[in-house]
Amino acid sequence: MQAAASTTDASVRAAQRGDPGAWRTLLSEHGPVVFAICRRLDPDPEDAYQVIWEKVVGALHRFDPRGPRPLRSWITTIAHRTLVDRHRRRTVRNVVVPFAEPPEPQDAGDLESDVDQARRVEHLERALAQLPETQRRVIVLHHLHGHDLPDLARTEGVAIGTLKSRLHRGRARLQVLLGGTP
Amino acid sequence: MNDAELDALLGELPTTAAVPPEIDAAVLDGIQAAPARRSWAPIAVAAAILLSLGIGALTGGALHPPPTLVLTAGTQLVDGQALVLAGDREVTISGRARISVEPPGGLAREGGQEATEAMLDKTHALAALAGSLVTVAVYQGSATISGPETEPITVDAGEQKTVGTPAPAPQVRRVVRAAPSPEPAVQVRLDGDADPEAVIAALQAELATLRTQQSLAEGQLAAVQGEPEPWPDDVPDAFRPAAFERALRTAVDEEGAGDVLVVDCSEFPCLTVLKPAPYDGQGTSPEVQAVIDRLSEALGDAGIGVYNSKTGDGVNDLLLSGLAFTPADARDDDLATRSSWRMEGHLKGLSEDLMGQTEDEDVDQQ
Repeated sequence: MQAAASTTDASVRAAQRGDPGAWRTLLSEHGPVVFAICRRLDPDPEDAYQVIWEKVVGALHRFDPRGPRPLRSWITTIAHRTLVDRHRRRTVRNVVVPFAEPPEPQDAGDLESDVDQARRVEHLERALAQLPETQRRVIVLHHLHGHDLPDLARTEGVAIGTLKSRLHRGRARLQVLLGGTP
Repeated sequence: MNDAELDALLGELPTTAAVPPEIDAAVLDGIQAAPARRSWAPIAVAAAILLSLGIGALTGGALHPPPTLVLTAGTQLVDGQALVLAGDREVTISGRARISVEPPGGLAREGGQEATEAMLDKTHALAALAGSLVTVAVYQGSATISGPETEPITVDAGEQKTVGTPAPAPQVRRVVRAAPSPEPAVQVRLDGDADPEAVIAALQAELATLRTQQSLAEGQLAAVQGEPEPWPDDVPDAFRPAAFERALRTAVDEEGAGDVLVVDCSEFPCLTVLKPAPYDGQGTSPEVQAVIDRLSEALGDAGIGVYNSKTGDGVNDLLLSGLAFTPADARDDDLATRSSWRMEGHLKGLSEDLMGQTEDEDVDQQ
């Protein structure tokens, strides 16, 4: 894979024509973001990553580089939709998704003394993994990837109020898991 | 940890993964093929109709997954993601939308028993597959209407679009109703003057017809009513009838939220209808909202359905709030359809009992 280069309108159009070099650029620029989402939101991130890119490949010809939506947002919305579908299928099949062991609750003092950023991030990642998928999706895509709540609600197929409730409950649970009260 | 500290911590999380996996060769093959792709919508529509009819005849109309509904006439509210075969159109829903199908002859304008009988009329239903008027109103999300002769049409939230031109064949219904009933085939056999092979052929044809009728009828019923869901073995205890009712009544009492009129745990999930304490305002009363919040907290990760109903003349109104709590992992579109149908029955029944009318009822699902 080549070094990242900015995905310009011209390179998107080249990718739409099937140009391998343009696709390499596109993958190198957006692949790490998509995979980060997969790792946080799907129990089989490698498989989810392939499925998402398969969908992007199939749909890119419909993307308008001059449209209002940036390519990254368009791709991560496809990722979101794919992950929602996968979650529903897992639910139908009653697959139990294993997560990491729950973190030991810490009090605020402990956390403040935990100045090491890597540890804080690791702690938060583990707490995130404890959230139900619906809550985790909205937190990750809203707080980390900047998706609007109305867009997220549309893709989830729920009312905006339901989504806000998930966000609220997810944040409250995170706060408890990270130590302290919401 | 307060909200600001949590936001700051979330801001520290990386938004990229260092080493994403290589893309599969099969996916890369698709890159080469992508520009040459063409729309398969017309073929997909025909295939979906044939598939739904074929599978419907074998399974009685139950298609899982994905949720596929067959709507030949009338109106259906869809909430979630579903594929609806509406007349000769394929409507892909992602969100909340109302679909109306008016087959040739204006069936959708009819009501009550007559419409129901007509919907179940095999020949009429089959005729509806061509030349129907399909109207899609999207309240949330979007819908795509695909048809055999047109480009896909996207309907976004807040929009309503109608497609199709009814075929000028209103007389079809009369012809069908005037057609001889299947009885002669049986009569021939009883008279003993018919070729046995012809009798068998006639019976087989009749059986095929009845199976088609059955699958279409069951598809219609399933689309409107859903199907009862068994209680999952692993449902959390808090959602089970006794615990749910206990938590509900405690919350309603302590919040002064009004009266509990219905607790229906005959199917999964439990539903309840509350008559809120009088309040000035629209939608959910503050006390009922407090009950919702408390139950949400007690039940954990739950999908919440809230149905507010208002019946009356503006002076003597009856307000009802229906609530449904489902474990988040158990939610799916079929369950939502079934719960909506159950709840609608309760709300209409209570409105009739308490007000003696349903004409002015306005049910708003949040």
